[in-house]
Amino acid sequence: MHASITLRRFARNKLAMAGAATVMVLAFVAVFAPLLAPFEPTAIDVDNILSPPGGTHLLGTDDLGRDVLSRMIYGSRVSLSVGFVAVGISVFIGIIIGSLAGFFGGKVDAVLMRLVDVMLTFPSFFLILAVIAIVGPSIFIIMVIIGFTSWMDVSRLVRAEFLSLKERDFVLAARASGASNGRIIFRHILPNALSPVFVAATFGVAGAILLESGLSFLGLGVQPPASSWGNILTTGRNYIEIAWWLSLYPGLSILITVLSYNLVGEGLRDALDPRIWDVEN
Amino acid sequence: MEARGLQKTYSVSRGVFGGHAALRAVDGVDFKVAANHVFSLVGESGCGKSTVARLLLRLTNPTGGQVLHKGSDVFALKGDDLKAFRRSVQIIFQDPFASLNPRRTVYETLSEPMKIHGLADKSAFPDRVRDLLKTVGMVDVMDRYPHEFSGGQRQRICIARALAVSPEVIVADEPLSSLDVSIQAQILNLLIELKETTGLAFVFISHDLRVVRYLSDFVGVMYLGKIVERAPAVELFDSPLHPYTEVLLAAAPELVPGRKKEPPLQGEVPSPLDMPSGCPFHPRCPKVFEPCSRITPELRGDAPRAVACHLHNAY
Repeated sequence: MHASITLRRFARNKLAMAGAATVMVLAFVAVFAPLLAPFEPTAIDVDNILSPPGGTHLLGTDDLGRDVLSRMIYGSRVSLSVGFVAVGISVFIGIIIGSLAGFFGGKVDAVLMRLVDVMLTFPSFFLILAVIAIVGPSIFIIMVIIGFTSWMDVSRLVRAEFLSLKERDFVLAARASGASNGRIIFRHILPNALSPVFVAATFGVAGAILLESGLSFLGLGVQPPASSWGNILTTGRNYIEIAWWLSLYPGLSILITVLSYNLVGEGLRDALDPRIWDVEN
Repeated sequence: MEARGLQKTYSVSRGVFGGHAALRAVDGVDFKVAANHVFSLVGESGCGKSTVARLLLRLTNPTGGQVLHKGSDVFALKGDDLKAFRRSVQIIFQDPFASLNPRRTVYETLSEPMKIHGLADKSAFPDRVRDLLKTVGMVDVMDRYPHEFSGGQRQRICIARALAVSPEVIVADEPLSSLDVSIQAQILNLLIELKETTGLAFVFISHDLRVVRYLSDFVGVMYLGKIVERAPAVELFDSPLHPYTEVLLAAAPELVPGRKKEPPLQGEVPSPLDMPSGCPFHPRCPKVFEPCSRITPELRGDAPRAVACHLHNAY
């Protein structure tokens, strides 16, 4: 399907557009964090410990007097970078495995799809916990592990697209023209197989952000004094009766971010689906 | 180009407990096509015509038999020889909506074969693409995408792609049947023009007898994966020998006005999974007699004319 049609259909979906706008605002905030944050995220203000929202600290301060808004603005960098890098890794692996399995079929397919089955049997959250317990927590490790444990859906999608596309006439015509396997895969099949991958990647970003927040909440993700939405929540948990703002704002950020990515994903899926054709098209 | 005893059998699952059954899509097909000639394969849908096309192009591997091109077995080719074969044999598909990559411009589609075979300097590609488009009766539309064209225009682009490597043989797998009748005539004229100007050998696969008669030098009639009659086009249409050919011709009434009508063909094409014994056509044949259900008739006769029927061959 042509890109402009997809865009037009996406633009008509109000929820998806709202999601896309939120995603863009978040990206903007993450990129320009040092300019937007009113305070240093690690600056301690002992005169204002656990001060409520309002005044100089717009969203209040935490138990060390650090500005919650600034910490959250910097935290959005963690969330987004984990989301994109992890999904980048998982899409890369998924495309390679799925392409090989779908294109070559037979034994290659059988071996790779069993690998997918094996990977799916691991509960990835616990796998990540185990790996972190061994190598120690770091944002880089988290990105890589999330990427390496979440490529299976992408590979299945890509494989399914390859299976149907490789028998299409234009692929046969390319083969008849003497095109090599590499040329057929990269020039003819893959560009036509990517729409479901975009959708899966968008949902994947939401999943990865949620996973990182969970890990940081458990203290296995981003380590203080660096901030992430998850570890602000951890602090908030200790003071939930006297400092509700420590839990509410990062919680809302996670909710809104994940929701936005999911809305964008759903909008993309509907816009790319050739079976859904409404009257106006 | 020559097909010798070409066979393609698919293994079809019969459900969990049924095991596998052999589906004989193509079962011993022989024919030859020479430069500057058109050989047509006709038959009902499902008789294995398209599978023959894919086999001729080596887009699928045969279960048995050979395709010979310039004296060598196409399925044994490797490396540079295979590349040379890819350059000299091209295909045009039935559905012009499925046979162009939707994400590539006309220029990309048409220049790709030149790039693969290094047919010209890269700077010469735009001119060559423009020439190709002119050959198939189109203006300069190099930067447009397939979805911007009608079916007939797309089929012209497909023909241009086939011509891009200056092939010696073109296999056309029902190139007209998904087009409107008025467009069919245009594309047909284009194919005839190409045949006359380039000296190409054509294998033309169709179920439309009017077109076949108009275009062909030789015709092979296929039924359930076998060629049941093979003859020069004029002879086949004037005096069909095989009862199936007779019925096919009779089913196209406008061909010979006033001719006595044969009774229309009764029944369905048998499933290729469950082939009739003896002659595959005997359950539907209006002239069936004693040996037909027992003995499979072979394709025999004085070349170029041959028929697989007990009526004409001593058994």
